[in-house]
Amino acid sequence: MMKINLNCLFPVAALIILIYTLSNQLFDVPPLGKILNPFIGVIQNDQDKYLNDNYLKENNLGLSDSVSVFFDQAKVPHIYAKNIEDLYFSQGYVTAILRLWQMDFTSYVSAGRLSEIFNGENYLQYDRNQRRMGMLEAAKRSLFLIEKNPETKKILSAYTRGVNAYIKRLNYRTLPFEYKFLNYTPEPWSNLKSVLIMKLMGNTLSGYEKDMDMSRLMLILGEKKFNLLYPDFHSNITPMVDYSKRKPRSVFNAAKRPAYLNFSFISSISSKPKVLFNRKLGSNSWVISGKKTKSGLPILASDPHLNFALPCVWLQMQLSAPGLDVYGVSIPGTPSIIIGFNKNIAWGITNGADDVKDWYKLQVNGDYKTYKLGDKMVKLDSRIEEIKRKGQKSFFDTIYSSKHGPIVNDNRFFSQRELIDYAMKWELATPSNEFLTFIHINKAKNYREYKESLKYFSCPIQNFTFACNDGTIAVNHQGNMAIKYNSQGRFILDGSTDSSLNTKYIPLDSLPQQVNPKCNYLVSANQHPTDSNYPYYYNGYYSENRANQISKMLAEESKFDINKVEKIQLDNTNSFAVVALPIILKKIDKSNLNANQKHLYDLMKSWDCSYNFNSEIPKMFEWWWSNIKNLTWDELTKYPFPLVNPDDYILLNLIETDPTNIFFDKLNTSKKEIASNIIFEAFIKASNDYFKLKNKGNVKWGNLNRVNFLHLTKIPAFSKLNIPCAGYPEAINAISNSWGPSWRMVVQLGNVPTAYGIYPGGQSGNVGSKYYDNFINDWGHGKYYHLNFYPSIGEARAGAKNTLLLK
Amino acid sequence: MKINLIQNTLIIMIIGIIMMTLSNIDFLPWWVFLLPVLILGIIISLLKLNLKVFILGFIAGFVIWFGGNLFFDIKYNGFVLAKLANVLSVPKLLLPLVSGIIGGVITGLAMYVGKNVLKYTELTNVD
Repeated sequence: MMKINLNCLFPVAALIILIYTLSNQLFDVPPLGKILNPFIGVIQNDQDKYLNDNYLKENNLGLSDSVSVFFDQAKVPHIYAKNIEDLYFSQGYVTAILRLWQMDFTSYVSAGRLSEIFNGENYLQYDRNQRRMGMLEAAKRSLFLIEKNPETKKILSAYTRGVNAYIKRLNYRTLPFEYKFLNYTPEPWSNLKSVLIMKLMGNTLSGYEKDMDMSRLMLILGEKKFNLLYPDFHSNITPMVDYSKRKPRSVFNAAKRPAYLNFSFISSISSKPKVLFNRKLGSNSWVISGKKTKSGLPILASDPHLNFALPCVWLQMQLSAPGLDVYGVSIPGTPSIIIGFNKNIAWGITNGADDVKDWYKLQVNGDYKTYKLGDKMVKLDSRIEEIKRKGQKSFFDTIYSSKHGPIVNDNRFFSQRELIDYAMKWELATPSNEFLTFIHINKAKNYREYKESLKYFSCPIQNFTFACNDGTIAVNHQGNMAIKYNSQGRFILDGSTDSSLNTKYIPLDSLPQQVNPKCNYLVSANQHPTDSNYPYYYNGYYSENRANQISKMLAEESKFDINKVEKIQLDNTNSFAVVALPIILKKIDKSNLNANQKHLYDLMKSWDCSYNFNSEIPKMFEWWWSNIKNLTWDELTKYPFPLVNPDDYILLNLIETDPTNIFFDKLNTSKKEIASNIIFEAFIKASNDYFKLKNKGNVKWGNLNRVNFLHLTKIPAFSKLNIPCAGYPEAINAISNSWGPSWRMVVQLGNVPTAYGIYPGGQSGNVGSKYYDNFINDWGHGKYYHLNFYPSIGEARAGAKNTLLLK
Repeated sequence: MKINLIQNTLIIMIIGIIMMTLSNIDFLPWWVFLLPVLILGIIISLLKLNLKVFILGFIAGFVIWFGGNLFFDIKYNGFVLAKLANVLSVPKLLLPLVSGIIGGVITGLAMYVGKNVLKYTELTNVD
């Protein structure tokens, strides 16, 4: 006879406890029984099933007809569907195969839901800030508008169904690595998540503003000095659209101090502002008419500069269905191609860099029930947002908003202390349907159809460059540009009135745009969209150096081919240094230098101002110029809050035209310094640092300019770090340590477009894949890949390395 | 002695097959292979085979989990374990080793529990 052996209770309990422990996350350790299990664990992510198997077939996905996906040598998918819905379904499906975790995670980043994945107060802070800026709210309201458009709704929903068809097929073994590592599972995809991803891109590109700095500067400096140092325009610009032949207008007058603006109006709180947005994120794109190319066909170049990230921000693909055949880069999580070309047209995008975000100082009652508007106290709106937290109770945040917009910072929570009780008006919050622009551009055949597509694009304001194989070239500064009075939005606005709330936009036809200019090329590189003859006031955070250099290089040559255009894209010249270096060198009295310094001076004199890999001068110039700035603008550092320096060209013009200006006089010295004194002092200080660095080792620019490609979780092991690179943010090849050309594309149109391109990343988002970061080295060396735009399914099949059949 | 060796090898192989087969069934929990291992332990107890079941289970579990990770690491790209080891700041080989120990301990324990969960009353009497 048998019975249960009670002595066995202990081992049974031990076994159960072990299984339980190994199935769950302990502190930060992922569930070991699952992730180290060789059959289902992370080791199963160490492969490229979809990108390596010669032939795969997946049935019962919910498609109406079969879809063929051909992966070429670079593992770029070419998707051939028999109808539009199947095409976007498959785009969702294939994107999910390659990038599911990335797109899912990005939607959490956008919405402010990171607390659902990570423990820690800093994630809650991040989420609260996102919610308070209204990202989730704005996405929901945009989705409501988007879904009223049947075409967008159909396409967005097809994409969503495609992503979900893939999610449904997943099990623990096939789950992307990061879900296993962070111990969570993908939620179903939704149209809202696609909108969130689009909004995050808008947020990155239009979030930068300096309203508080400018207000403080206006008060500190007074109108005269402020306008001298911070004018709307300076002389060294090459505007995107030429209005110089038009009747001069006087909308860009000198800024006046708004009547309400005084020190008691704005906060004098000294706080180091958090860097939430990067002003330098920009892009280059230009287009050359056939009259200036060897082949007689137009060439378009586009290289958007974004944060370097892994998985790569872009995903290359070709989408083909009846009525549509397009190649380019898509943003994982959103349908259609964002930058690319089809048989007839090519288009590129750069950031418009306009100011579309304003702060209104409110007079809020202490209990956050009312605020002053006109002569009345008006009720503050409020909503409660639930922020779910991993392993903890949800956090509920009350967000107040006035007629102007949400109060992002209040006395319970702030990321920008100096903006407590200010309402934020951001164009990004206005519902809009940017998807429709891309859906239509993807199939546009000529400028008319293309331009018709642009009208849906509202925010962020972007410059769209265009070339067509009929010879047309164009550039459009597209988006909701509010009609503003002079200097409106440069300073903190008075929230006790609604008189400065913008209600109208510049009409579509009056937005800066140009078609087929006489010079036969058009350049957009985040510079001023127009000169000061433009009939409407606008302001923004423009960068001029890259546009100046591109325009110069395009003007110099008359027979361009793809190779020459690639060389421009990779040009490392800092055009500011080209202008500035002779001027500041001239200010140095060489007889006061020692032998080493003289030698360095001569080296600088012969420097071509290129931030090439092997150049040894860039760091010296950097230090020298930065010392000059610090010594000149020392007056701006004596305040409890940091202030933004004037533009480099303003300082340079001051050196040239007004070398005895009071700003050159250093604080705390009895001597009255002039420009040449501080330029000399800056040189000596920089050269001392330079010689020290040189003695330590390598001053070659490529070794100093180390580029990091951070995984979205910022975990170094999943990132690619410290890659030595040429380039500089002010050069066309705008590589900095953490952002730069995220996609380089050059397209020559013709019967069939010829195109080259590369991005720093790879096709796969899987950290265990061979195709995760395999383009980075070639990208760093300035190589391009031929982009296979297959004109027919037969050619795609013939060119395919592996095939995926979806049904 | 020889019979014992054959028996031991056979048991290890049976456990290995159980682990490999059941771990590939996606909708079952990852530890489901422990149930047939446990039953195997019961069978051994019913057959009154005098085997050191924990050791046998441990060897089988260790070999399959340690070897499995190594096998796939070589067969596939060899990136994931290296990157994970980098995150945890441990040598890469430690991960398959830890995996092997986990596989070994739970399989051995399941065998042990299986063999000892039931007992014959006469044995109890003797005790």
